[in-house]
Amino acid sequence: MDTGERQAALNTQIRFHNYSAALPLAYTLRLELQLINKRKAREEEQLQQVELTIRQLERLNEPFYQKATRWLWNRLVEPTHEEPLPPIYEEAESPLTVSPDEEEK
Amino acid sequence: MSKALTFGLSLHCTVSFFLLLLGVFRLLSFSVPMALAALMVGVGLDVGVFYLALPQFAKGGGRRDYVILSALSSAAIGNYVGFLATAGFAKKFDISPDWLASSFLFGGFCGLLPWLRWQLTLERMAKEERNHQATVIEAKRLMELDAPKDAEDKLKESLLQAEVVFGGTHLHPAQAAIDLGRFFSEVEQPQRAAAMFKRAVRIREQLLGEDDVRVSSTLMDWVNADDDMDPSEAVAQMRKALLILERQLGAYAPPVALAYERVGDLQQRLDNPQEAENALRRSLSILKKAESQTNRDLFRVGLKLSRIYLELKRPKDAQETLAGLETSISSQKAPMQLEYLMVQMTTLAELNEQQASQDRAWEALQLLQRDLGPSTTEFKSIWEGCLDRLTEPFGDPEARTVYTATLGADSYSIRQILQNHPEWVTQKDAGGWNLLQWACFFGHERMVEAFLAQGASLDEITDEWPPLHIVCRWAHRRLISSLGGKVENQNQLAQKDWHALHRCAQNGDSRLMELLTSKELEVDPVNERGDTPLLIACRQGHYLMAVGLVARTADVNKVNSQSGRSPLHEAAYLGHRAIAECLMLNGAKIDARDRAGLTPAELAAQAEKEAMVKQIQAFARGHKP
Repeated sequence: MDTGERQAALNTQIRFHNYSAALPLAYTLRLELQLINKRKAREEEQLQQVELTIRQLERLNEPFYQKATRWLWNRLVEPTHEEPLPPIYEEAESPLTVSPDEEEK
Repeated sequence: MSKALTFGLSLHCTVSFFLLLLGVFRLLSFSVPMALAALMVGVGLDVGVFYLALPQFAKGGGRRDYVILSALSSAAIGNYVGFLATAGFAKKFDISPDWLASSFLFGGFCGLLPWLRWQLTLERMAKEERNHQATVIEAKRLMELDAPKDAEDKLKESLLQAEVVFGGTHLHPAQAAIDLGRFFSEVEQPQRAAAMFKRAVRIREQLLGEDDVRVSSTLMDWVNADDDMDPSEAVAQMRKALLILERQLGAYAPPVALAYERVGDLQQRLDNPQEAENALRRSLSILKKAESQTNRDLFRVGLKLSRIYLELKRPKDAQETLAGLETSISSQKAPMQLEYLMVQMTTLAELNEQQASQDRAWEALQLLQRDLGPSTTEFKSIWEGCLDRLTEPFGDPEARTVYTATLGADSYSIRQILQNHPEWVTQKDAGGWNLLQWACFFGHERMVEAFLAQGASLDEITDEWPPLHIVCRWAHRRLISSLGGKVENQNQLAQKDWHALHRCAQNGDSRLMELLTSKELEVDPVNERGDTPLLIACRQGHYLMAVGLVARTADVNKVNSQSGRSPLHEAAYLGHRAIAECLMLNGAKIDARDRAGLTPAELAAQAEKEAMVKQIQAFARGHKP
């Protein structure tokens, strides 16, 4: 499976808010991207986005008591700022499905 | 430490809170406002303790701190909830204060549940760590079996598993990334290795702070692995690592010397010989002061400094540095000895001491003949430099042509010359060998056939290096299959207590061993140093050879008659974990003691092979892979 396919699989899970299944996929994608020899600019950008995605997915996958603990941690020990989940990275710009108007034709 | 601390804190919170509430409630006959006030005091106490403990836990690494904090918070919440539930129950049904006291116990029980959960989490983490260790061994074994792709997949899988269990930012995935990086370094994929080390550096910096020795060691691994890194950037990173080491370990710690050595290498790559000299001189002076350091590092750094001096056209300084290393040359490994001799040859030539330079070349040739073999890059130049001296006993300049033809496998010229001098076939040269031995050394099958046809014999040579031993030592498989048919008795294989199997074990060629053992040889002969082939294979780390010998019923508990060390002792001392595992699974005694009274685990601990110690201890506890 190449990185494009992995990215697509990850995007699918995120789209359906299936964050627990998305996290292992994100780890695998990050490893694949890190192990590419002589990464291109596009792959570098993709890697940075995956890093951000992983950080957010890790937070979304925390159980309640860990969330509470992190809230305490951030208030009392090491304040950090929240980052939003980055936009889904798409390989192709064109839509994957045919629009209803086109179908009618 | 953190286990005990957490338990202590948990207990403290539980007990102090209960005592407080018990006293307050008994005094005030369970008034609700006072109960709430007491609750607030309890909460304040707990939060205060957590707040003080947090930075300590953070140093533990990764998610573990969250786990601990979560366990503590949950313990306190469990106390309150448990207490309020039973106390409310007691008030509603008008139960006596004695009954109330028992409700505190229930609260305590609720508080202990999260602690138990945390223990289970810790156990799971330990299990994952054990699994990863087993994967690393498995990967090493696969490497030995020449399956690097499978080994890579195993290590990648282990890293991803560690990330899923511990989260991406944790010390354990960092260690898994380092192991994967080491694998890539081994298979010469520097960019991928660098990517893994870089990841580990980031995680460790985040968790341990930028001033931790573990960060600096990973940083050094990263710089060493990344060939493509800009040398000036590499120097900057090394300086960063160096500063950490100096701050944490002191200016004269051996790791600081090794970091200076690396800086010297990088400066040389940057074409700054002066800077390189400074760094290497500093490294050398630190190593001289460090008493516990082995002289191998000292020797290596000294050689590098001598080479820099030669580059700077200062042969006298080079000679002075080399003179300081002369006393420890005998304890060095053969490639280092050869390097020393080569540097000294050049230095003496620069100082116009030609005779001394040739003497060094002769010593180098003997070293190649005995220990390093013909495939060494320096072999041809040394051989040609020594030809005059080598052929002195022949008393004829034409002998030089025969030796040159032997190296070049020119059988036509050899036949022409030997027609006029048939006695040269058995004549020994200044190095104590004849032409047949040299042909075996080079692995030239046609030349060996030619010399045997001219009257040379496998039986006649009775010195330490019979032709069959030479062939086995330098792993010429085709020759052993052709010469093997000519072996008529065991005496040709065993010479001066050395058996051809010992030579095979030295080079680790298991295919060669298979060719030999097809003759139903004894697999446990003992040589003059008291070694069996299995002991040699374990010492040299030749996994396939060791497995092959064990499969041919070699005795895994046969000890060296001089040191009393078993094969497991040897493998443990040098950290060959895959071999140790194979030996233990085949009945090697893990409690055997050598002459010094040490078990394999104790010997491994002495050699600072922590992973090996853990492996043996796990095996003793019954955790078989």
